[in-house]
Amino acid sequence: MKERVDFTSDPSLLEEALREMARDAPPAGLEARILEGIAAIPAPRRSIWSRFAMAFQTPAATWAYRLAALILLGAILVNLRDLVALRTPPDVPEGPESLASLVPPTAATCPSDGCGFLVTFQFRADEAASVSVAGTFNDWDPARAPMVRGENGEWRLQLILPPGKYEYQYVIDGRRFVPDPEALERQSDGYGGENAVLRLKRCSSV
Amino acid sequence: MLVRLTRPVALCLALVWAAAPAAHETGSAAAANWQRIFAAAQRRSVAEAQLLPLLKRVDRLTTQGLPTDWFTDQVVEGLAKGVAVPLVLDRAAVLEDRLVTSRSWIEDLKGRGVDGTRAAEGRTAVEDLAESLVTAPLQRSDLDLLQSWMNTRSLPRLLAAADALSHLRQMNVAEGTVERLFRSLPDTLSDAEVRYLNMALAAGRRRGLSDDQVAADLASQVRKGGRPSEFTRGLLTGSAGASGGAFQGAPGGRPVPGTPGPGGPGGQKGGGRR
Repeated sequence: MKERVDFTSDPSLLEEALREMARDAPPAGLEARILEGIAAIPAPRRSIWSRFAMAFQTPAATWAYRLAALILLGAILVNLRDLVALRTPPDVPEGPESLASLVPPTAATCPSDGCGFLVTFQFRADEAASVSVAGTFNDWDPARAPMVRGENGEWRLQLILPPGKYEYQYVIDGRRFVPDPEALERQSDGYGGENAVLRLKRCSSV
Repeated sequence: MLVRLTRPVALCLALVWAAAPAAHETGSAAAANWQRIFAAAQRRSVAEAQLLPLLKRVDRLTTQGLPTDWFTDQVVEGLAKGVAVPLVLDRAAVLEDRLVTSRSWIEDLKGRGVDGTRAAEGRTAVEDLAESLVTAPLQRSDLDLLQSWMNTRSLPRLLAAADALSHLRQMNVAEGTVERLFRSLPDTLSDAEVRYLNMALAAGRRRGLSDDQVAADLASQVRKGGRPSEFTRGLLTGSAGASGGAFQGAPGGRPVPGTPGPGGPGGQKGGGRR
């Protein structure tokens, strides 16, 4: 039996013992035994949620959080813009449809941005009960741009159109699409017919 | 546990919320175009079941990241004119093919150093080129030719030239004349004016002039700073062309574009009568 040493009676004995311990190398195979012991300990059972949460504790996940924060900020800005837009609906509807419906055939108003073209459509059809203009500016809907009959079977309509390239045809009695024989530029419509082409350049270059 | 779960759940919510506006915009664009197709079909009493293949194509274009507005324009036009649905479906297949080809060519051009964006007139570059491909069967090599003739690396200029070329091909203008036309264009001429080349020749033909004659006159005028649109107007009013007069007056054809002045229909120009 080893002799018990009372370190409290002599503190120098404790210091000497600690120096002795520091000099001693660990017994051979101790590290391997420790690792084996650790491996033998059964892993704690973690729930799916717990494992899912642990996946977000890695350094890579930290970067993902930062990225998410940036995306979040962008999303907030985008949604704010939409919210502001919702709160202030435009007074003047946009698009060719509204332009056609806003402009009566006998008068015209300048668009608010001052950069539109007053386009006069004229077509002679003595026997027609109704004539309209249908084109890319009104989704080819004759009902949106009816022409007004004048003297000598002359049908007429004025539209304000923004700069751009348009294709159109006249529509007689709501059903029969006919090309404008006087159009300078025509283009196949891909369905066996021909559309007239109307090009309106930007005001600055006119 | 609750604290541990908060961060990942917040991350998922943030991603979903951030993606929502983009998904909403894409979805709403497709939905708006579906609505246009429905409306056009309804006017012609087309059964909704017949529209399914068209709607699927719109959806597929959206999924592929291709623009759908121009495609829908063409489909709506067919339906509105009362074209039989099978023919509209055939047309839709061609349009989709041209859109895919157009994007491929534009990506190829960009890979070769051609740059610039095309946002004018509310149409994308892909749609712009696709329309040219529909107008006339252009080849990829045609774009290289245009690039060398005009010595440009600008995508908007190439697209404008492709548009003009497609119409010139449709008009069966001789290739030599076409080349001379494009070679004569100064760098200072705007892209919008390039699109008027075919109109100048069309106006010349209306006056009984040969394409070569008009091309020569036009080249001479643009070298002096003239514009093809003004040259065309001059031809139509008889003040330019073979006689090389000044550019004045308004087009004789209809409809007649005019520039409105403030507060009224000022600027309206007269048109010819039928």
